[in-house]
Amino acid sequence: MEMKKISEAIFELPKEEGMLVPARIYGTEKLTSEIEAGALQQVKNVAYLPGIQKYSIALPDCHWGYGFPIGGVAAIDYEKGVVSPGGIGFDINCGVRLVKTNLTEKEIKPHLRDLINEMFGAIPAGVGGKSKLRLSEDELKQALEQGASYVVERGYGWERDLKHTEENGKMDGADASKVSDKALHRGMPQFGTLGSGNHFLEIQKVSDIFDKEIAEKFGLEQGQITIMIHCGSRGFGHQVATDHLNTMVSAMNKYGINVPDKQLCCAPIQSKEGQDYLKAMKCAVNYAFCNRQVIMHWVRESFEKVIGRDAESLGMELLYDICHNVAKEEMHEINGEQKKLLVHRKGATRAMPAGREENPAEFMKTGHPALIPGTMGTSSYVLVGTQTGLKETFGSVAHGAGRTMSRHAAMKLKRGDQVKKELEEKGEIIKGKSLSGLAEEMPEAYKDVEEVIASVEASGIGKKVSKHVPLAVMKG
Amino acid sequence: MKGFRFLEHTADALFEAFGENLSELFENSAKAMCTVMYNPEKVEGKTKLTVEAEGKNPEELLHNLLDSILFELHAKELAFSKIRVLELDEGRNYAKAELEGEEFDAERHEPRSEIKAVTWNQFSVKKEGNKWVSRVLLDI
Repeated sequence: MEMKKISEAIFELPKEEGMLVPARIYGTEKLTSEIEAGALQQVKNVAYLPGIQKYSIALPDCHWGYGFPIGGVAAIDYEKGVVSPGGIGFDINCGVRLVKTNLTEKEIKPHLRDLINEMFGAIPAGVGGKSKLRLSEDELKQALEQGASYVVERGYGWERDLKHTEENGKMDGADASKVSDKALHRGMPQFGTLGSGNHFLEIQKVSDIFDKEIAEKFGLEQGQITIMIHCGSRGFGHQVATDHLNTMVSAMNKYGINVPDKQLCCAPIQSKEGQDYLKAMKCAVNYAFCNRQVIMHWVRESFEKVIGRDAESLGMELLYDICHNVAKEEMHEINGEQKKLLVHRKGATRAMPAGREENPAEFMKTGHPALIPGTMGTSSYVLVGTQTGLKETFGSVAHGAGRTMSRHAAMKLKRGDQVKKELEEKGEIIKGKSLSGLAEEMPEAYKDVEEVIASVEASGIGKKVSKHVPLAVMKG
Repeated sequence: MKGFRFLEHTADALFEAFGENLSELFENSAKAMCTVMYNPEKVEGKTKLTVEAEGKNPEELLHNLLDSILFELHAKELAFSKIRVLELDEGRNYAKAELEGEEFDAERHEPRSEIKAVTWNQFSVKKEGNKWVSRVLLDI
């Protein structure tokens, strides 16, 4: 595939017939050359979407997905363009939250095994993990429209957690009447569950600080213990996406839209199908904020029980909660003018630089933390956005390491118990609900997260603040 | 003839299923999907329920049938060992299937990966020679 080098870590796939804009890949030469042909084709396919602005974007962790690649951004004209549920993904508001503590490695080490065992018992995970919190249909509908404040008001967390959650834990405009009975019934038993696949809960240590000033403002320092939670909107969001995709597959003819892959199906943002999807998507976003809030509450309870001190005295403050599968209405500069866009981020983390209105007051001068989870054997990162990122990628950075090996190939390479043994020999504690799940998620199945982060910095779209290494990991 | 086989895909689960006729193809596709989540051999047939699906063509019909089965798995927290197509009207693309299984039990059913959805990406139902072949990508 013909590729033009724009700068050290930016490459372009020129516009071809059918593409409305070129495609751009933000990654070092090494990472870019490793992207599968299938993923590059998907980045090009996204460039067909009516109303797409500037470029179809692939981030450094980009890999082959379904319809859109994973690690992609498409910013679309809000008035004249389309919304494509495939550009958000089935796991709407899959995201990450990072909880701080005032503990050091030395203090937590004797408790690690007990902590993971306690959390394993307290937080439902894996296939068929049963929630302890059963909401009625009416209660779920309230949670969908009110977001994380619904669970905080019922004792799951602290009022100030909301200020440290993207959108204050509630996306405005959520309308539960646009959600099917099927979605409600898939969502009810899974409210407050971690799930499986790449979702995890991790106790980490800050191993490196790269930007002292910003780290200090975030309350992060070397050697500090942090906790990362990665999960999404569970079966609820999956069903919302399924329902609305099916509606759009049928509606595309009506609007005369042609896309090269059925999974890219879409409808005009201003159409009934488009608006109905967005109102339902916002419900799924709020479901996921609630889900991570409830799980964090159980993490705090587990720490209190095992360490014997209350969560406040352990300094268990939420640093930030941010999603990486979502569409957001944002203003961006296009040809010198501010324009309202619907920015689809699928496997992409928003990283708005200092000064942008999307930042909570506390992060206005630094830019909010952009959380990048690594694999269970490598590192996770906290980044911040830059002005270059705002211009190049609509304020977006990578969302993780990005898979490079199929689950099938991973399982053939090593068994789950072997993966666990190897990581435990390195000093980590690993506990998973499924051995095959551990094999599928082995660190070797992912790209090198260091190269992904180096690509973010080399292309100028984000800046490193801190690096976090895993001490104990719970997988679904 | 093997009922299904998994193909390489970086992030998700891609399979091909086979059948002498559409009913058999649908049964094997459903079995492949369940295999991603748990070991169907370990599931006992204690309870039965039926699902129905419709579409505009055989592809939509299979997609919607798999969607319906996935919904039952998640919403009712069940696991299925057998899927039998009871009725298949190729003229109006309608199917009715019987699912046999029991409440999901993480201790006995060897949990694997949860399935988020049946995607439309590369989805196909085709007749190749004298057999039917489906291609399905599941988001996991």
